[in-house]
Amino acid sequence: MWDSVTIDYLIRDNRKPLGPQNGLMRRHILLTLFTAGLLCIHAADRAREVQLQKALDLMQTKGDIAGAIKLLEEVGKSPDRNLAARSLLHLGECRLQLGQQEASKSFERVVREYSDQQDVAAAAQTKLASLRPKPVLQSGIANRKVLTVPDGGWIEGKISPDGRYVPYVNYKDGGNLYLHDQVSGTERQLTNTGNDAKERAPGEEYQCAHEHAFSRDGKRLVYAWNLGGTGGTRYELRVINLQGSGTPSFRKLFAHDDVEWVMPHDWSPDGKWIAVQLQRKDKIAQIGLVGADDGSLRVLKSVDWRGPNLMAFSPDGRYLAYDLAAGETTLQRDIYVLAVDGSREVPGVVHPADDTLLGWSPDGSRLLFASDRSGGTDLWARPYSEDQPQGRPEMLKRDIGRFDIMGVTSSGKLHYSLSSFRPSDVVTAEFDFEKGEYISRPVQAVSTYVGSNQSPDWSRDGKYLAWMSRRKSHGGPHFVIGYRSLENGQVRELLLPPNFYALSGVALSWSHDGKSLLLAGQNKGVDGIYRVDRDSGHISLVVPVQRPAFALESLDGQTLYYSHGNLDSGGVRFVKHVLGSGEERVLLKGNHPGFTSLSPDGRYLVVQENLRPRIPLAILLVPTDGTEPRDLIRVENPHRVAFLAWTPDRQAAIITKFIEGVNGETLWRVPFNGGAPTQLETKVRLPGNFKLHPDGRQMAFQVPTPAKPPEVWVLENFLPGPPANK
Amino acid sequence: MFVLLAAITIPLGLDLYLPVPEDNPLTAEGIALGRKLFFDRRLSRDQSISCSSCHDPERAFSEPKTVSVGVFGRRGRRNAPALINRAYGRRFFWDGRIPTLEEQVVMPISDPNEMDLPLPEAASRVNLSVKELSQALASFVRSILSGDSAYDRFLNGDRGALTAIQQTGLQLFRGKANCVSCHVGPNLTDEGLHNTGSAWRDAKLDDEGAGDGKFKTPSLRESARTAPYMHDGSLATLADVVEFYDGGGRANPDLDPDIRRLKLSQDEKRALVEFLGALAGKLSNASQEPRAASK
Repeated sequence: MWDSVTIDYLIRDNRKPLGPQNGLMRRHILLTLFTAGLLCIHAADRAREVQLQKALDLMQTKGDIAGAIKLLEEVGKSPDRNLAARSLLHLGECRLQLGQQEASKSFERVVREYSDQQDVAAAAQTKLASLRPKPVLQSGIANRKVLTVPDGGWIEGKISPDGRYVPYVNYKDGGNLYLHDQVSGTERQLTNTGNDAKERAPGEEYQCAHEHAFSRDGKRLVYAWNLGGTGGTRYELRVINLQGSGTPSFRKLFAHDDVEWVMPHDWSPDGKWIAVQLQRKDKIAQIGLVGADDGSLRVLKSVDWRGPNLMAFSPDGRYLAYDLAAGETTLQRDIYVLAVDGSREVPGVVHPADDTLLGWSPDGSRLLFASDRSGGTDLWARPYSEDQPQGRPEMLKRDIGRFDIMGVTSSGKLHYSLSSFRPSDVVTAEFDFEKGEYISRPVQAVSTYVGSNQSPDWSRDGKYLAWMSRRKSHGGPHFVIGYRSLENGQVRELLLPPNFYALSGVALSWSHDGKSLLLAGQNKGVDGIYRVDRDSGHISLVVPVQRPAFALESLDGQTLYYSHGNLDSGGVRFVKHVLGSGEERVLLKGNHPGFTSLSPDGRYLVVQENLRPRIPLAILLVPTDGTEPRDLIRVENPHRVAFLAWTPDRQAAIITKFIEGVNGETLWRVPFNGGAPTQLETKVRLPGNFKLHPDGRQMAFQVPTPAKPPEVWVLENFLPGPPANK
Repeated sequence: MFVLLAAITIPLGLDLYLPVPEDNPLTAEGIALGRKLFFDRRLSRDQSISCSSCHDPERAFSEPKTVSVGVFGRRGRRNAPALINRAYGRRFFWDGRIPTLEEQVVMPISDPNEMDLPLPEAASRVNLSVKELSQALASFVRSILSGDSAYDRFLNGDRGALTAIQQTGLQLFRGKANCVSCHVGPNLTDEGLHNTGSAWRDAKLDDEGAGDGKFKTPSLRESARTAPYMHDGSLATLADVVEFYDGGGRANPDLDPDIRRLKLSQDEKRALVEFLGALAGKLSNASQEPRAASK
């Protein structure tokens, strides 16, 4: 209903972009703002603000850097995040003047810990950039795009060792695995039973391909095969022989009752082992080896919930390098090298920066990794010999950006993919429901991390607009909840724990009192409905439940309504959960119900009854007291109907009627307590998932942004000669 | 099973990679020396107790007293923890204050409420340096491994290894009771520090632990024979432990958010206890006192 084609009238935020001239001016303004301080500060912070000014005076006019540092360290303890961030920024500047290496650490801390103070963080980022070392090689490096993945394709695995074949999962064809030959330009289908997003017969299991890795001779491919399953996703490893033509038959290599999912990372040089990441049913991640012939499992090491981003065998096959989050509360990763016989492990790259593994140089003399230690994301190498890392890491290339690694070929070319996962933005507009016309046209409501924002919701008192931001890093996405005060325009960001994974397409909703937000997700691998405190950002599990999708509090906050499950787990259930007692009652169960709202009087859940996915035939009112649901409106196939919002007077629902793929949808007003629906006289199309502000005029909704298909890139000639032995 | 450098055998269910410091490699000699020292009473001031006095191999290297009793009948504050799979540990003692096994193993020797002997004197009594003493004891403790339990066999495909009630217990452990929020992984511990309320009595905190009443999550392996439980040995049986968590721990301002009332039925509680019994395995290096040990 609301796609990229229909949003051509979308008006971007009308603030001027940061060009070079007004960038300078803005920096000037920023500095002025920094030194002027905030208009409204508490007495204690006012005292600290005075201290900050004193420190700046010491630093800038009196040259007493040591004195300034002392004061700035004190001011840095302020609970006022803006003040603390500014003092840390100036602390870095002082240390820079003294030539201290800690300067970059101060700037890094601002970037890492105070990203919500956007202007200060940007200033620190600029400082960091100026401190960055120069790459070892500055010429001759080539970086070029080698493939735009065919429509519907998604890169989930590694390139062939000779760089010729690019495997991808084709989600337009049920999630089957395909192989692109870069020499002939042809596609080869490797699996044919994937049925992702396809109509399935009753009892037919969900099937789809995921991660994959080649044997070093390029003749075999191992891939993870998703088999759905009722108790959580069930995966197995399958192996195919790539010699010959056509769709090859597979050999089931590995499946384990206690393993929820398994991901192959690399194939040992001798062809005997496949390095895998496992997630057990207790949610622990493990690094293991699966025998390429017999499927036997050796668990080498149990790690945290997130597990490695990449594992790669050393060229001699004796070691496995992997990266891992440095702790539960951080996104930063470090790199380790583990003997494949389990006898020892050495730290490969352990540093406060975010270091993610990219692979080994073909001769095994270097560990290649991406690091943000110098401000941007650069390509680095750590010399490695005599079973140990040697010497200091060296930068090979600046600004490689954030990407998904596809492997280093035997000739030393680094392949990677660039993709964006369902990019979207949050948009607001004002609409007059009486006249059926826009009062103000849609504008982008969130101007940071454009393309990453989704799931807007207004607080029930109308004071805040919140959204979810899904941000990319080398180690998978991380999630941030943003909210803006409509009173003063201030934006606050709540960084969700690195272990938290917000489930895709899931709505964010404010609690009844606006003090917290509810969302469905997974923390440390545990599915459930979570509550995030608006002020502290503290996250807590409200209801542990498999495959949650939606959560909404009752008007008085005493009850939680949520949905969970899907067709593979016996249908979707809408559950009433009494907070406090934990008592639960299933209000509705069905195969394809979706999208929930609460009626204005709080007595009904509004549920769309879908015949099949995306075929909504009725809007149901499901009484929260557990009695029988009734139709708000029902249509006959091929007509469709979708709930949009309650009218500003709360007496009726605004719904849309349409026929899939046919122009001419109509808007209708359907009285809540019975009465004939009346058509709204308007030709305006409304988005299908908007949230209406309590003022009855402002809408917020998510729009998909045009997505570029994934691309495969190659980086060449970046490796210097062999490192000197230290 | 997997043999690590012929010094020890990694039982089914545990990680093959056993963290060992580079400067204290596991050797058969080191482990044997550590075993002797573990049972050596000369390491206590009055030569009345050894490490094994509070860490009884028959009880998976734990003891039945609520809190340990040291030389001259001095009472400690906490229950002696089971020394199971500590090779995989990342922090030591109930409050997790010590980061390495080498540091941890000698601290009871000098603790006035335990063995009360200055380390140089202890080392001198057994003709070793303090470093040698620490490394040998650490090697021995590192070699105490428990695995190959019914639970491990079940997870590795032996569907008959757990009884029906134990399987129900496992489901509860991972599901409704959510024990896995802390007791996770092969060693059934996150090695984390949590406030379960166990240190709160009459609305007062009687042991700060690692701060705010937090204590390290113990491994549940062999737990059927490591009673009593909790940092102070205040819960006598596994049924008491299940009851404690069913009630949501003990309310206090710093209670871990993962501790909540579970509302388990009596059958479910029984199933959990039965499941915990399935964590008893084969204990490597649980040998009796070496014959040559000094009395």
